[in-house]
Parts: sequence; structure tokens; C-alpha cells
Amino acid sequence: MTTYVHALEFDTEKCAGRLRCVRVCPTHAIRVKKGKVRVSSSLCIDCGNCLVACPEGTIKPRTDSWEDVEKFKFKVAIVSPTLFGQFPVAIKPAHIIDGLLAIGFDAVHDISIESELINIAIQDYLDEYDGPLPLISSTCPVVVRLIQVAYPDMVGQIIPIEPPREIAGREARKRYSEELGIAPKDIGVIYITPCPAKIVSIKQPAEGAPSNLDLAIGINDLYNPLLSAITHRERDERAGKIVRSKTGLHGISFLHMALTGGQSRELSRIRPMSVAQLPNIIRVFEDIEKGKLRNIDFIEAYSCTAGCIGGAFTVDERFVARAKIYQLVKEAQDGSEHVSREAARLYKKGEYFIRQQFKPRPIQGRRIDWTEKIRRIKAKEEFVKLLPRIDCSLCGAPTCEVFAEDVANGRSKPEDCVLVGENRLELLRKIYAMDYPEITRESED
Amino acid sequence: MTDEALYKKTFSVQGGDFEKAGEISTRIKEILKSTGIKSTIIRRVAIASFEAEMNVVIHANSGRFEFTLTPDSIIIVVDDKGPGIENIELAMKEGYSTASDEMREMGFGAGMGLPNIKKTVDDFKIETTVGKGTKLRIKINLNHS
Repeated sequence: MTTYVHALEFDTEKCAGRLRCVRVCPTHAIRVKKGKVRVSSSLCIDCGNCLVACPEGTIKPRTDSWEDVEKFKFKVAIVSPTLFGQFPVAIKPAHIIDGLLAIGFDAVHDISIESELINIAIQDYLDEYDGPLPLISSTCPVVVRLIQVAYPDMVGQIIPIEPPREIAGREARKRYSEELGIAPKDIGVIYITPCPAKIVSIKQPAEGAPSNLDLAIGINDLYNPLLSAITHRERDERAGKIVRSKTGLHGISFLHMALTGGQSRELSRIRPMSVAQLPNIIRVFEDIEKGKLRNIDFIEAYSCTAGCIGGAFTVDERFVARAKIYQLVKEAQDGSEHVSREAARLYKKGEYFIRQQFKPRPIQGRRIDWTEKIRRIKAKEEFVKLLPRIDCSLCGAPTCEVFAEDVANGRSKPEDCVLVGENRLELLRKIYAMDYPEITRESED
Repeated sequence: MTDEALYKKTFSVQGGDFEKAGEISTRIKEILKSTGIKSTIIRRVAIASFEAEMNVVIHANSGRFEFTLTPDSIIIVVDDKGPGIENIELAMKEGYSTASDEMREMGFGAGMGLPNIKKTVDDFKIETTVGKGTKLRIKINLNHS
């Protein structure tokens, strides 16, 4: 059985059993048992919902540290447009790039040309593709993992084209090792990530091939040093311009990539749609599975609200960040034409394929006789009728429905429900250390 | 081969209820997913049951949807009260539809429903009485391996 690497670490010592994580987990991978959190590794898709929901700091993302970065002779920061929406409006992308160089990166590589390259690659791929539609973007690692876990028959619809960050990683390593004569292994390619899922996509790519990126640092971890580096420097004449790797311009289309629909905007030859947030994505995927979604060729789907600007490591409120990105778009000296020309020049057909195939993720415990499984489905359907359907989660499961499934599969006992078990409330009072004085009521005479 | 039911569930479908349309096939898909049946088979069932469900919603007044799981197949019987089909041969042709203009404006009635179901399933039977209704019985083999 494969062991899954995850971006989130649970410190059960700190867990106070407050159930927030249980309720927000889209794949129902989390339970609270005896007041402590438990996670199913094979069901976790690294969306980070639990990280955002936890009030106790139980969940820690496994981002890399600056010490890890310093091990490399030459350090390249790969930045997505999300980063540019995180700062006060007076701080322009050019300042942010200067700031990254000031805190110790040797080069900054934004993903503008790569975004353009994959747009061409997607349209080319669709021209020749004759399998089931729609195809689904491979950019959001959570979406890819959701398909592997919950929609196994749709893995063939994940478009086998590398996300921009991976192409950028390969290009940056190649470029600097050639230009500067540094061994490729001495070049650290570091992704400045808006979310924990992209850490996992580097440590354990969904398709099994090695990532082109070495490390991932969260936007929030860099924010303070970066802001201080920016504000302590003199504004130079580059203000208002957007600089790629100290030399070029990049396009408005690139800035849109931080937002839901940013990619769809650029795909003129096909019929795209965009969707964000897991509950919405799940509804769309349900429709795809039964053939209800028609006349759509390509879906860009992002786990986070409003796209990557909603990632768990972002600093500014997502809709504020979106407004700032729109403002940057207005101010930007548009380099779209330049970028399109560059992309068209660099584009090599068939170059951007993910070489390994996406496969469904086998879920643990599936190897029992299926007639036994049917017996359990019936048992669940019977048991759920006895439950109050108020989804209080005091049993440790997110909903009555899921709890009934747990009971039918022997993972929980019926009496774990406060309304079924005689002593459940007493037990919970002990677990949560609640010591109420006995409530007495004066008689009304 | 046996048709002994391991699991059976019936649903009712309301003609013209587009808001709820598709819920039955989603429910069936959920049940099948928890049985661990091969995902390729589940997808075929999902497509066939959705089309069958939609046929009732688009054309009929009401219908009864029966889902049965046997040791070696999935059987779906959809029995509706509705106009029936005047010419089955035509109805089985891709692109032929009797859906009203209104339905077509909504994007339904592409004339792919019945042919699509037939293509997707292993066994397909249809009985219809004009003015009374249509009964569709479809079967997908499980081919355990």
C-alpha cells in the first residue's frame, strides 16, 4: 500500500476536539475520537480546509524553511500572480520582485510565459483528442487528488499537460545552469506557494513523476521579511512596470491567472468553464459523471474560493486581493503581445506533456466481499433512520449520514451518538473537562 | 445467471420537475460507489440512469424508477405514465426527438436519450402504449473478475 505524503501535520497534543476540521473536510477524512483528531491518509486530498478552520493551531503545514533554501548555491523564486495581490496597493510587482532579490533570492521567475504556453498546449491537445469531455485542468493539486480519490473513472479526463509552475521550474533550472555554468543540482528552484497542496505536489506528484521544483515556501512565511525589505528600499523608476526575471515584461493575462476564470478567458478556440470551491466542484463533477454536463471542452477548477488568491497561505482577504489584482491589471503596461509572441516562439508542440499517467488512488479497506458491502449499505440505511439528522458531530463524524456509515462498517459504535448512547454525554463532559455544578431549580409555588 | 435481488430501491420521478432532475441517478451512483463495483461500470450506470430519468422528466407526467442489484447485474426499470412513443424505430434513431420546442430551447430533446441508453447498456427492452406510458428495462452486467 502506498504511503501518502501530506502537507499538513496534526499535533494531537494540541487538539482540543473542537470538531471544526471534521465539519469542513470535503472527503470526510477526519474524525474526532475521545476528544482527539484522527485523519485517514488515503482520503486526505490536502485542501487545507482543516488548517484554516482549526482554532487551536493543531494543524501545521510542512512548508520548507529558509535554511533549506540556503543549502542551494543559486536560488530562484518561482512566483505566481497571487503573490502580487497580497501587498498594499502602492507596492507594485516590480517592488515585490526587488524585495525577493533583497531577501536573498538570486533570480525571480514569474510564470507568465508558461501560462501562455500551456494555453496553446491545451488548445492543441483538444484539437486531436477524441475521448470523453470535458478535460480538466491539472493545475490545482487538490482537484487532481479529489478525482483520484472520489471520481476514479475521470482520471483520464485530467489533461496531461504540466501546470505552469512545473514548466517554469524546468526552464529556470535549465536557463541558469546554462547561463551561469552552475550544476543543475546546485540550483534551488523554490515555489512561493499560496497553499499547502502545492507542497505535496512537489514532494509527491499525483502522477508519480518527479517534480521540477525543489522546495515550497508559503507566502505567509515570506510576507514579513519581504514587506520589510520592500519598504526599506528606495522606490526605483521601475515602479508600475512588471518585470520577469529582471528583463522582460509580462502580460495582463498572467495577472488574471490568480483568479477563477483567468485561464478560461484566454482559451478562445474552445468552450471552457471555470469553477471554484470544493462543494461547487463536486456538483460539477457529479454532472460530468452522469453525462449531464454537455458542450464544455475544458474546466479549470480551483479548490479555493475565487481561485489561488483564496489559498490558505495567502495574507490578504481574497476578495480584497482580487480587487487589487484588477487594479494592477488596469495600471499594468500590458506586455501581453510581447508574451504571446515569446510564447509562440518558444512553443514546441508535444513538449509539455506529463509523461506518467494519472491513476485512481486505491482507498484502504476496499478489499472485502461486495455482498458484505451491500449488507453494510442496507445496515447503514436502516440505522440512519434512527438518527436525529441534526449533524451535531458529537459522535466525532461530520454528519449523521457519515456516522451511520461508520457504524455499519464497524468503525464506530451506535452508542457514540448522544441520543442513542446512555452514557455518551457523561463521557463527553469528562473528555471536554466540563464540570458543571448540578442545576437546581427553585420550585415555583 | 440469476436475477435474485441483493438490493432494491424504488424512487418516484415527477414529470416536468427539472429542479430535482438527476437526483436519482446521483443517489444510485453513491450507493454503487460504496459497493466497490468497478468505476467504469458505475459510470455506465450513471449515464444510462440519468438519461432514463430525464426521459420521464421531459416527456411524461410521472414515473416509477426501480433499481435492483443482483449478484451479476444491475437492472433498472423505469415505468412512466405519459404519452408513450408512437414510433419506436424513429425514437431509437440518433437525433430524432418529439420534445416540445420549449424543451429544445432549454437544451433538452437532442434526440440522443434512448440511443445513448442502448449504446451504454448490455440489455435493453422497451414497451410502450400510446396515450398510456412507456416501460424501459435496462441491464448492465457486472462481469466480476
